[in-house]
Amino acid sequence: MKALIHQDVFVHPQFDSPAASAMLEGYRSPFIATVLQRLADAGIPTEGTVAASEFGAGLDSSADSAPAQAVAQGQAAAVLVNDHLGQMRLAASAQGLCCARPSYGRASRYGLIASASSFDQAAVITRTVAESARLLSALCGADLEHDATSLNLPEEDFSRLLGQDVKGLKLGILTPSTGSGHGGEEDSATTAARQALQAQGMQTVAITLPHHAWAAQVANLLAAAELSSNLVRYDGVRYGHRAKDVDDLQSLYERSRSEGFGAAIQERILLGTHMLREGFYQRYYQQAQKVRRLIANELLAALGGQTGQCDVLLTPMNAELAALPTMAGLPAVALPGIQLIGAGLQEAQLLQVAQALQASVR
Amino acid sequence: MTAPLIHGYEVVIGFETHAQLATHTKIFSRASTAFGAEPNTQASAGCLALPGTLPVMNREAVTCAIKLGLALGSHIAPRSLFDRKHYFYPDLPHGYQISQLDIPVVQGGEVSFYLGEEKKTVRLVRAHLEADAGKSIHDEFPSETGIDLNRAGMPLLEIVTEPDMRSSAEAVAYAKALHQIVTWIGVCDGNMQEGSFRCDANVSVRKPGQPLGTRREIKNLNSFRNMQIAIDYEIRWQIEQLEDGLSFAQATVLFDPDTGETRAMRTKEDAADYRYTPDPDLPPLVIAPEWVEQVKATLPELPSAMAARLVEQYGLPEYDATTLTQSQAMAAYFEATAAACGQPKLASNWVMGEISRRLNAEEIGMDAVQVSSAQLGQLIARISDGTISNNAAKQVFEALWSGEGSDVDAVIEAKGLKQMNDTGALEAIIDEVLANNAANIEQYKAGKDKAFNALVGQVMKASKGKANPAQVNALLKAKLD
Repeated sequence: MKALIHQDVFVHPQFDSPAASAMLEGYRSPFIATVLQRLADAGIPTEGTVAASEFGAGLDSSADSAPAQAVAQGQAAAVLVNDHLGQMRLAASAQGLCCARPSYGRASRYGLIASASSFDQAAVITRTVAESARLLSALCGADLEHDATSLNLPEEDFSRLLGQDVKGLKLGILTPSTGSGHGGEEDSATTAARQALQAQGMQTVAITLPHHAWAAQVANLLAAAELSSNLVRYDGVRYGHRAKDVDDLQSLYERSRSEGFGAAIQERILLGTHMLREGFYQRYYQQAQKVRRLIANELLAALGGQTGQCDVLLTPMNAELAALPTMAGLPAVALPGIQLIGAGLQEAQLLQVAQALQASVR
Repeated sequence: MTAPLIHGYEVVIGFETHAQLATHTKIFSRASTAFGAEPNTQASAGCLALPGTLPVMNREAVTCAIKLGLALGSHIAPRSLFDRKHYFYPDLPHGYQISQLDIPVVQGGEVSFYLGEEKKTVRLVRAHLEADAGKSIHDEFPSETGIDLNRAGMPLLEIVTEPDMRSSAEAVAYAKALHQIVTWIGVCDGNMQEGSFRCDANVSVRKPGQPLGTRREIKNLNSFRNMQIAIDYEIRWQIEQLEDGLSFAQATVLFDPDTGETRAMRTKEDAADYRYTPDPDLPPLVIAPEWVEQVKATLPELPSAMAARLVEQYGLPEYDATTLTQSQAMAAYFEATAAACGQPKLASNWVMGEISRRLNAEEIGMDAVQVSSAQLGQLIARISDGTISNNAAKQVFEALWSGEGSDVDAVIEAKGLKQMNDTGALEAIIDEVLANNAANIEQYKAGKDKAFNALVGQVMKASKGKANPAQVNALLKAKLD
């Protein structure tokens, strides 16, 4: 079994990084992604790649389950993935595994082939929370030279609170938004998790996020806009798929992109491009940004460290809620059937609670 | 003074200038910015937009922007934003240009200059940071286009004015004044041929009192001379269209230096939708007051302030002060020369005269001046202490410039240019001239001044030009009256 493999959207001079796309088939980068370099420096070099959906854009849930399957089937102990809108946590949760993503800006995006820049986020899929904590501690760290959104913070050992008593910590329980069928209802897995953590002395607090039901749609729209912009560079001119026997520049662009991108990506590019058009930008893109900000503010008020209502927020893990932490770039851990969302930069505490839960289930 | 009307039309001009910032590395990557390297040797992974690369702001470029903003009296935005401007073009590797749309780093400000005797002020709208594109090379490969990405990611500051200019002359004067400032404070090398200082002019015409007319933007103005020709051509063309009762569309036009004409590249109808969007890779550019203060401390004395000081300190006329402050190098050369000879006005005359003439004739800059300020100072000192005449000084200057000699006194000696200041010898010459020119003496005594000048000329000639003209005048007068 390999100790670590990576989704083929992280670049490495020894492995192709096609991003599961014909556009980048056979593409080999001259440089290495910072997160892979950091893992190698910590004695955990990657040993192979695994493909998921094209450009990691989350458009094919069966393709997106491949990284989690690699762990479930014992091909690798851990997989480095782009959690993006949460599809990797969703897949890992469904397969009984752990998937943890750090706060946005903790892990460098240098060398991660961009899909939706403000959502793209390195994450790890492992069997245990402890293993995720160890890998996240290694791959997170400032990379100011290469990534302007990298946070200038010292390295941290996210394992440092593992095994410590969670008694007295506040567990937020998401109150379903009224009349919505948007996945906020407590299901059996969430109930079991709540009871397990209450049994360890955690207090529960009801958390209301009035707009959380919009998170998935907003993430979807904004990710399409960012994707359409990030993928303009794949034009057949410098690298990547280049159409043959073209007559002029326009047909080089049109045919290279039509041949190189899959149908689902093309549809997303069209949607994103439309959203950014003059006259539509305010209606769609800006409106979606406003809703994202609204949900982010609600999340930050609930999980705002000292002044927040709770330390960790517990929700069911489903397609409607997977993107919730990405609204505010918060750290999150997925476990079978549930997700835990931590306060910004409080990965150690989040992983402490996640591990307490995992330990009680076993 | 109101602007001159042309066939009853008022001209309205605004400028957009792309100043390439004199940084060591590119605006969002660490690739070098040196000019003239082999194609694509100065393009990093980031310049090529390889997958996984990200932009990181070059602080040196921001410092340049702050510096120019301070020099122009602009507001330095404490927080400005970067946007992506999308379009497909082979020399634009990302498929978008990183620029600043809504909140630019430099806001407001103005550029003042003299148009003849009249002081003009052009208001600035903004100056924003952006990355340059690469270059497409169409003429080197048959039926193919070459792409050179050395220029991709070069740091630019786009400086945008209000439509404040009312003639081509004023537009050129503005461009020269802006050029003077950016080069003076060192944020741009100002080389127009290499594209370091690129001006686009928005030109429209209207009958006085009418709303603004349809404008056309002229691109590719790569010299001040072409700028004037292109704008004049465009004004004439627009007026002709209107006089013929023809309308024209808002358009971008290209100036062709070979024909001296402008021709439409694209009209507003085919203008691309750039799909501006905030760049998620770049957080807001935050400029703390301390940063602004630090830059302020490095700002040199600005040309207008220096000109005022030259008037105050050396008693120079405004004209001299303005001329001498065309460049920092020339101003420094003047001050050194004035200090060496103690004669500021003479120093000014020589710098604006002989020195400028020679530099222009040889098309070289002050950095290649062939006569040092110490040499010129000494030369001026020899004029004012009566050792040599002005004419003789020009011969010495030529010898110094050509490298024939380096020491002023040695050149004077070698060429025998010393003025005859010996009263006895001079008197002997004068006596001889008077003895041989009785007719002139008669005429002079009859009240004809010309006759006196003829006598001075005779004496100068007899002394082989070495006599001190002032002294000759005085001695002749004494003998005749």
